[in-house]
Formats: sequence, C-alpha cells, structure tokens
Amino acid sequence: MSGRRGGTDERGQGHTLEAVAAAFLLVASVSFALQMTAVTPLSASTSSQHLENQLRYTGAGVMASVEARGGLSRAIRYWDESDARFHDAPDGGYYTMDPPDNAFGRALNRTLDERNIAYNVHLVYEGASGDRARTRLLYRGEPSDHAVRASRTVTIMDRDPLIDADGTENGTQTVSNASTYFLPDADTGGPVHNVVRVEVVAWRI
Amino acid sequence: MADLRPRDERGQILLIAAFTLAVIFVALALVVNSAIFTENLASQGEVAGSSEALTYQHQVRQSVTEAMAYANRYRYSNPTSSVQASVDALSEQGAHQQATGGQLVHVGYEGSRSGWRIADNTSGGSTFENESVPVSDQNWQLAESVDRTRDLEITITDESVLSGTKASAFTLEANESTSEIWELRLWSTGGEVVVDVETASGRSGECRVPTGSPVEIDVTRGLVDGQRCHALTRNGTGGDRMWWGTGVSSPYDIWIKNGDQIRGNYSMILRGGSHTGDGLVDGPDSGDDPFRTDAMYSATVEYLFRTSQVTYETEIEVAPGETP
Repeated sequence: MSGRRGGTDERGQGHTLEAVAAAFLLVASVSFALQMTAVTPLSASTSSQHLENQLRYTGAGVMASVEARGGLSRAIRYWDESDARFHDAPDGGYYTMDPPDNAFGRALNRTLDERNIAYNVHLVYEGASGDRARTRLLYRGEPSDHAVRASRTVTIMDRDPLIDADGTENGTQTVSNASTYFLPDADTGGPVHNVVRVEVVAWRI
Repeated sequence: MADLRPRDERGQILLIAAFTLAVIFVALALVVNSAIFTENLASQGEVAGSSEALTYQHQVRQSVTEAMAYANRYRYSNPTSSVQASVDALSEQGAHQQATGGQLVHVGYEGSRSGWRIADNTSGGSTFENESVPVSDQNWQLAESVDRTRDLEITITDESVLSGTKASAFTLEANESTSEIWELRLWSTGGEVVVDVETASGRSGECRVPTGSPVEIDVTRGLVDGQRCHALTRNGTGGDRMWWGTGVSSPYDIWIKNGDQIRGNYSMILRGGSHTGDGLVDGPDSGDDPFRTDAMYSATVEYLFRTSQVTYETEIEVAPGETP
C-alpha cells in the first residue's frame, strides 16, 4: 500500500515539473514569436546597418555639395535681424515644416524629404562664455533609434555679411555688427567670428 | 502500471524532440545572425574611419580659403598675421568641436607666398578703362611678367554696354610674346552674353549665358554664373585645354583691350611681376580706376588628425581659384 502511494506521489511531482517546463516553453516561444513580428523594416537593428551608412553618406554628400559653393555658410547667415530669427522661420525661431528657402534648404528637400526621410539640423558652436552651444536650425521631432548623424565644420569670418531673404548679401549688416544675431564672436580681436559645426540628424519614417 | 508505461515513454520522446527542436532553432538563429554580422561588416566600407581624416582636411582647406580671402580684402597691409590669427582660431575651435567625436585635430600655420591683388570694385560697376594711363586708357597693360594668376573674376553689371560684335568686343589677354596670346572676349547678341576664348595654339570655343544682370565670370575656375563653361575649361570631353593662359609660357603680361566696351567689376590675385608704373592706384580706392594692394598668393598649413585607430599628418597648400 505504502509503496504504491509513494509511487503515485512521485508521478505527481514529475507531472508538475513537466507542466512547469511546458508552460515555460510555451511562454518563451510565444514571446519569441511576438518579437519576430515586432521587427519591421523601420526597426533599428544591425541588419539595416548598410541603410544607415547610406543615409549618413547622403547627409554628408548634401552638405559637401552645398558647401562647395559656400551655401552652408550662407544658410548660417540667413538671418532676419529685425525679427531676431532665421528668415521666415516660425515663432520658435527654427524651421519645422519647410526647410529654409536657400541652397541648403532646397538641397535637403530634394534629397531627403522626397524619400520620406525625416531630419533635424543643429548648429554647434562656441557660446559667449566659452562653452559649447547648440542652436536648432530645423527641428522635426525626436529622432528614432536608428537615426544617423553627418556633420561639417564651417568658419564664419568677422565681416561676413548677413544674407537677406532673397538670398543676396546685405550691404550693411555683418555677423559682427548685427545686434540680434545668434552667433557670438568667439575670437575677440581676431578675424574669425566663430567656427560652426552643422549637424544633420536623419532617420527613415 | 502496465497501462501507464507506454504513456510515460511517449512523454520522454516528446521532451527529447522538443529539446532537439530548441537546439536546432538556436543553431539556426546563430547562423542567420552571423550572416547578418558579416553583411554588416562588409557594408561598413572602411572600419578605421580614415575617410573622416580626408573629409576634415577638405574642411580645413575651405576654412583657410575663407581666411585668405578675408585677409586679402580687409587686412592687405599685413595679410600674413591675419591668416596666422585665423588659422590659430580655427585650429582651437575646430579641435573642441572634433574632440566630441573622439578625434584629435590640429592645424598650424607654416608659411605663405606673397602676391598682389588688382581690383576695380566701384559700386555699381564701371568701364574697364584706366584714366591714369596716358596713351590709351581703353587698351592698357594691367600687369607685366606675371608668374601665376588665381581668383580672376569679372562681373558684368550692365550688359547694354557690351559690344554687339566680336571684332570690337572687350578683350582680356594673357601674352608672352606676339605669338603666344590667350584671349577672352565678351560681347552680347542682345539676348545672350557670349564668352569667347582663343588659346595660344589657335583653339577657340565659346559659351553663352542668357542676359540678366549681373553676369559673373570666374575665369580661372572656368565658371560663368556658377555653371561650368567649356570654353574656359576644356573643349569637348577629353578635348583641348582651354583654361586661362593655356599655351602662354610664364612669365606673361596681362592686357585689357576695348575696356570701354564693358561695365562691371573685376579682381585677381597675381604672383610675381609688377604693374606698369603709371597704371594703378596704390591701396583700395573707391574711385573709378583700378587699384593694387599686397596680397597673400598661397598659404601652407600643417594638418594633424588622430583617432584611436588613425594617425594622419600632412601639409596643405591652399591657393584658391588657381587653374588646374
């Protein structure tokens, strides 16, 4: 009697362990399957690295081609002195929907907007107190996990003129004598006004 | 007992099968992942990041170009110290910027070659005559025995002044003797401005831009209104060289002919040679006549780029707007 009862008990333990193992396998496979469906073509993963590389080189290429004709420097100086912001920028001071109406803006629009790529443009430079300052030129929201960054450095000289809304150089206002211009003189007494790094952060949507 | 045994055995088989399947899945995942990783590495181009050294070198070159243009325009009395100060500033600030990306960069001023600049930047433009020349102020010698020329730019502000025929058109000439002459003629057909070039070897070509002020001609870079002009670069794909001064051995003289047949501004930076004694006003001048100032022709900077994987060091010579 006692031996039979003991055997039944042992079989019960075995069944319980089996049940637990089966439940674990089931839950694990369900969560694994769920993760597979969560990987969409837009998810950040190592498998889309070459797409990110392409995007990075595209961003760098846009800036290189624009800067070959001085367009990047002009985009930084595309400043509305009376409104204290970039020409035709919304109240926030930076562009959101449409890129600026200059060579840089048009090149970004042609290259990235038409391929459903979202991007932000930041300007990084030396601030008035010698720290690193950051200004938004164009902001379209928080980048996703697979965003890439391309950057290019531009030197702005003291007597470089501000650029008017129509793209011509302003005859009187320069980066040094404009009172509302965002870029401080980081090299007081010297000919260089500031060195600005233009950063394009791009991601697929 | 007897009827339970087969069920027990089936359970074991199921368990073993499940484990085998699990191991196969893991192995497959490993194979797929390593394939992805290989593709990942293959698509990275170059792993060390040496292209960044060259990209930043290009940016340094552009910055030094800006610094030289600034010095030649506003600090002509001592362009060297101005360029030196600019290079120091851009080295320091650029180093701060690049340090955030794990890159150590240094740019240092090494030396320069001096030159001189001729310009006529009368506001609104003027004819290319020179009233200080006693004999003929339409046809006059701009410079004598010049070794090299860069940043030669002409802006036409009023196209109605341009001659209607090639024979009487404004001509810019580089000549070494009566046989070695490179000529640039500018005239107008009414609707178009014609840029006509004839090299010393007798090759000729022209390109046209629609009328619409101002027309900017960058002679040494071969650009008209920012677009490449084949008459100033090459005639046809792989064809004859047409660049400024082709076929004229240096040192050469630079002449303006029919200077009354154009209205605009011009500027150029020269190395070697001199201006004809009575020809040019010294220092910047807002009057109608062209002037000369000292200028920096080219600058040499040392460039150092270092990351954990790459060390790159070179000297960069910057002479913007030279013919290739």
